[in-house]
Amino acid sequence: MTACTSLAFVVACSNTDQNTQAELSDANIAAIVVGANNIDISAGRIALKRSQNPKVRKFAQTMIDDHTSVLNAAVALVTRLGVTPVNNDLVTMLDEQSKRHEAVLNSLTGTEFDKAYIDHEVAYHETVITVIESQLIPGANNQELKDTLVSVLPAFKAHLKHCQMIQASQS
Amino acid sequence: MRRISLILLCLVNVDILAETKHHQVAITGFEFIPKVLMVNKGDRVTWVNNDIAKHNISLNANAHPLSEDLAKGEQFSVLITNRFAYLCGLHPSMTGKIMIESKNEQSKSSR
Repeated sequence: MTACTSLAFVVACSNTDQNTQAELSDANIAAIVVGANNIDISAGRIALKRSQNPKVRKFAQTMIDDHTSVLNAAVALVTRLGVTPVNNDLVTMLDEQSKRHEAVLNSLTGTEFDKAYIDHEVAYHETVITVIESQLIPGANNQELKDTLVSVLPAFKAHLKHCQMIQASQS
Repeated sequence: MRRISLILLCLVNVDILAETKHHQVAITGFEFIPKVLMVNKGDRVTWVNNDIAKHNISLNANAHPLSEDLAKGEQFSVLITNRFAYLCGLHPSMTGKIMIESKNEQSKSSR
C-alpha cells in the first residue's frame, strides 16, 4: 500500500465507522490534534536531515514551526480545560501509518526522498483537513475547542497549497 | 529670502502631512486582509500578524524578505513609493498587492 492510498484508507475507515464518529469525545479530539501535529513535526525533522533541496528544507522548517505553534496552543487549551487526551482507533491508525512512512523516508535520499516526502505531505494535509472538517469540528463539545479547530484549519489549507506548489515544480 | 524659504518649507511639510495616510493590513487566518490595498504614494502601510504562526512580507518566494518573520502581535511598516505584489515567504499561497491610486499619481506627477 502506498503512502497516499494508506492515508485515504485511514480517512475511509474513520468515516465509515459510525461508532468511532459517534463516540468521539473532546479527549479523543485532543489526542488526534496532538498526534497529527507530532506526526508532521517528526516528518519535517527527517526532511531537514535528509534533503538538500532548499524548497523542501524551507517547507520542512515551516511545518516544524507551524505545527509546533498549533501543538502548543492545543496543549495549553486542553490543559486549561482539564481535558486529558485519550487515544482512539483513528490516532492508532495515523500513528501506525506514520511509522511505516518514516521507515520509507529514512531509506531514501536525493530526489527520491524529496518526492516521497512532498507526495506524502500533500496526502497527509488532505487527510487532516478532511478529518478536521468532517469529524473534529462537528464532534467537539467544548466551544473553545471547536473554535480552536476552526482557527487552525487555514494553516493546514495553506500548508496543502504550499506542498502542492512544490509537488508541481517536481514533476 | 531665508524667511521665504522657511515658509515654503513649512508649507511643503504641511502638504505632505495632510496627504499621508496610514493603512493597515491584517494577517489573519493565513490571509492578507485586504488582499488588494489602494494607497497614495507616500502613504504608510503596516502589516499586523494576528496568527499563531509566523509570517513575513516578501517580494517573491526566493528573495530575502522585506520584513523579519513576524510572530503573533508583531507588525511591519513601510512607506509606499510604488505599487508591488507580495507574498508570505513562509506560506507562498498567501499573496497580496499594494496598488497606487491612479488619480493621485497623476496629480502628484503634474506638480
